[in-house]
Amino acid sequence: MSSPVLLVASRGGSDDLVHLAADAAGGAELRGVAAFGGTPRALARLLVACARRVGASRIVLESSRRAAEVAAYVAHDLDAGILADVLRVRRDGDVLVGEKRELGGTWDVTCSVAGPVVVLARPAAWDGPVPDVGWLTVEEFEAAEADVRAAAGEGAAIGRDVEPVSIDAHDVEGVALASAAVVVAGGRGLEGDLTPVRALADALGGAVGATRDIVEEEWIGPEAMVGQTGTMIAPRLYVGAGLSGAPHHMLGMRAAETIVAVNLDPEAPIMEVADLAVVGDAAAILTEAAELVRERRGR
Amino acid sequence: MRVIVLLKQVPDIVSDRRLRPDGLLERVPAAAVLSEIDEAALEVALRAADALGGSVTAVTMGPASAEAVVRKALQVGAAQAVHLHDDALAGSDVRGTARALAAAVRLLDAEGAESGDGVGLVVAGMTALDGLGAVVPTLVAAELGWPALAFAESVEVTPGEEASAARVVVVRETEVGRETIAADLPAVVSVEDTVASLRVPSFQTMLAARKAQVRVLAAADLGLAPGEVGLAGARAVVVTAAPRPERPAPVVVTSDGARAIVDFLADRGLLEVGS
Repeated sequence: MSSPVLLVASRGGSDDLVHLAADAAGGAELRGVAAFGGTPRALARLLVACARRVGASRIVLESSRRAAEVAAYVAHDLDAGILADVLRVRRDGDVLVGEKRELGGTWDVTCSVAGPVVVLARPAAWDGPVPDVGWLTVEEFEAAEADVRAAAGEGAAIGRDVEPVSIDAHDVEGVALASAAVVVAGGRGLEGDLTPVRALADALGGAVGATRDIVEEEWIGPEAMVGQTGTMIAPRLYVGAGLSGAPHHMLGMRAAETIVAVNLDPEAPIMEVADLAVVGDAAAILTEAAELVRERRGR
Repeated sequence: MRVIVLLKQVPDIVSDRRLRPDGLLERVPAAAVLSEIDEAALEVALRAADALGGSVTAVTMGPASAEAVVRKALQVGAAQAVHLHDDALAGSDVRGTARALAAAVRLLDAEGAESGDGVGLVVAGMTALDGLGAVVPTLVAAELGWPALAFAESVEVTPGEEASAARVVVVRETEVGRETIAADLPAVVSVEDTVASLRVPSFQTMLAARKAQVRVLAAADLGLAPGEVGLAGARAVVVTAAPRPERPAPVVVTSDGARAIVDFLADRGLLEVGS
């Protein structure tokens, strides 16, 4: 099978995602489309039309809540299988093999799908030159939009959709959590002030994460929540400070490659899964570490 | 109007969970519980049934031991329990699972419609052990052609009036922001675990549960062909599953923590991996 792969991404977005999509193509053409708006149902319909226009039967999206909804509809419409939360993929003829971590990052699992497939990617870090993406031309994109309109005009059985009522958009500051290479997360031990967490995240060029506890305390917005019902992360480096490591949080971060924990309690569960366990006051240690990192990185 | 809650038997998240060599979750009956998320879904379903003047049917799919989760639903006030139990369903991927669940919804809807009691709402938990959080509920909705309202933090159901259909309004949190979305019923909703706490069983509901029968349905009862579900119909298959090697014991530092962190990161080449 040498049909192209369709990558759904913003131009100038994550290089890691492009690398993963290129591996999914496995020598076949890699096409890209930057389409994000509308309801998940409507977006899926547009992406399916784009895929059909360019003859793609493998579609790659970066894993997120919204992407999971979109992926479900695309898989339904294309009668495709789904590979969710894969860190790496490789193509073996007609079969796409994905590697993922399950059960809170404690198991390595490989899954495969033969034929059409939708990939929800949580790409591992890649090095090397970024592969070329053949972005859909304006003509191709408009043709796909026309296909969607024509199908709707013919009264195709497309099911009912939700009605958006209102949206309170997040102010996204700094690095996006789901795809960050570095995440610095804080918990109750920060006693209401996340300045030290932000300082170290900034110094390392990483994203800020939080436990469910402190999100419920409203010390930080829900978009920062790492855990079973928040964002599941698999960064190169995770730093957890002033948090004990409740199951909810650990399920969301145990896939991290390297774990550093800072806690007053040497017996806290997070300290047991850490590569480096630092016993001490989280706020003071993070503030000082941020200063030292800035010195070393020269910024 | 009937409300259906989709429940999934899961091992306790703090228990020692294992995958079998074929990648399927090893389900240990003793450790199996109704997850917090499914408890929340069940409570939302019970409240929606109250609002709509209907009853709750709990549906699960899985091995014999999965019956326990629908029994639990009966104990807190679900009127009926359905167990999709068939070797032909084992090993279903997300598409097959959604197909089977949607077929059960369709069957219950058709049976209820005869007495003016069709399905108005399907409620499921957003199981979030991986990125599949919204996939199964949304796939069920896609199969049915109904709207899907995923990741609900709050759910409000209003019964239909003469001039207007029954509706559901959901507030949810996604990467985009805090969204309010709505749809006419019938619809599929998936919920967060924080949406509601499950009520305690009453004497009456406990008693009713003891007498209630769990209805068992096989793939053929759902009108499903062997190639559509189960391992035979699975597009996605697990190739290998292995526990990751134990991490080496942590390096523990009790003084000069900041310097220890920075030296450690420099050693591992992690000072420059951020953006």
